Amino acid sequence: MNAKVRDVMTPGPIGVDYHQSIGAAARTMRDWGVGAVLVVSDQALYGLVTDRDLVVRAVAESRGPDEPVGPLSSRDLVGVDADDDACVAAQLMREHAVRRLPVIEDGQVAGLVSLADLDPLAVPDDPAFAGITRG
Amino acid sequence: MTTKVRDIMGPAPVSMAATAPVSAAARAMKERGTGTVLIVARGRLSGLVTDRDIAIRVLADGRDPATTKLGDICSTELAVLGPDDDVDQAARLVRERAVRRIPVVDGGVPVGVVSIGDLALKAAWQQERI
Repeated sequence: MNAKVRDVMTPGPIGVDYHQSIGAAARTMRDWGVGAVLVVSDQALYGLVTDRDLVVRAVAESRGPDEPVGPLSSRDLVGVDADDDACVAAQLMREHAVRRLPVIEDGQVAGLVSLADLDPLAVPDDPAFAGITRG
Repeated sequence: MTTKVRDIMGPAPVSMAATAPVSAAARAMKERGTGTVLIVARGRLSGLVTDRDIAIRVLADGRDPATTKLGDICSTELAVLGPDDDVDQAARLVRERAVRRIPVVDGGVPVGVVSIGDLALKAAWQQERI
């Protein structure tokens, strides 16, 4: 049986406000043990920011930790349905060269799935990972 | 045929001294498109700093990236691979140690890195070509 996106996603995505500070976003990632948070502006989904974004778009650019996190966001997110097979998520990541997808259920963001969630050993029956599990 | 670590590893990441500031590592990660900086002493691997380490151990703690040294935040209990290890071994280490990137060393000298992304994406690409 193929794993579904809902089986491997991180449910209940964590959000930060566009105007929250870069430091606050880093603390949110630390406290929740996540590598990415959704960025919300005026109660609508604005984008997504990762731990790496904080480093290459803020620290590397000499932006201070008190500046707003919103401008560091990636926009134009690619979503995946919670009922899709996990290999669909892998294909979308490859096609769009992204590592994280918001997971959509009933028109709402229900979670996030990252490349690291698609553990090749955890989905041995998944054709997307056959090459590696054959070893 | 068994796939070896050398078949899927990325090039050796940027190496820096433990005394270099975090801000220099962040710039190197941006310019080189990498998430890992290796800490070396006399050419040999002594530690590793990831982009996440900088977010969690510097930004979240309110430390100044310009004055915090890489040696203050790097991980030193490293899992490492050899270039001739099986990819299975790499996958096992990624799971057991809950790490995203594993340096590949040959006689103590860094020669590459394997990331969980390499493992998953290479598998998917291989599948498409079969």
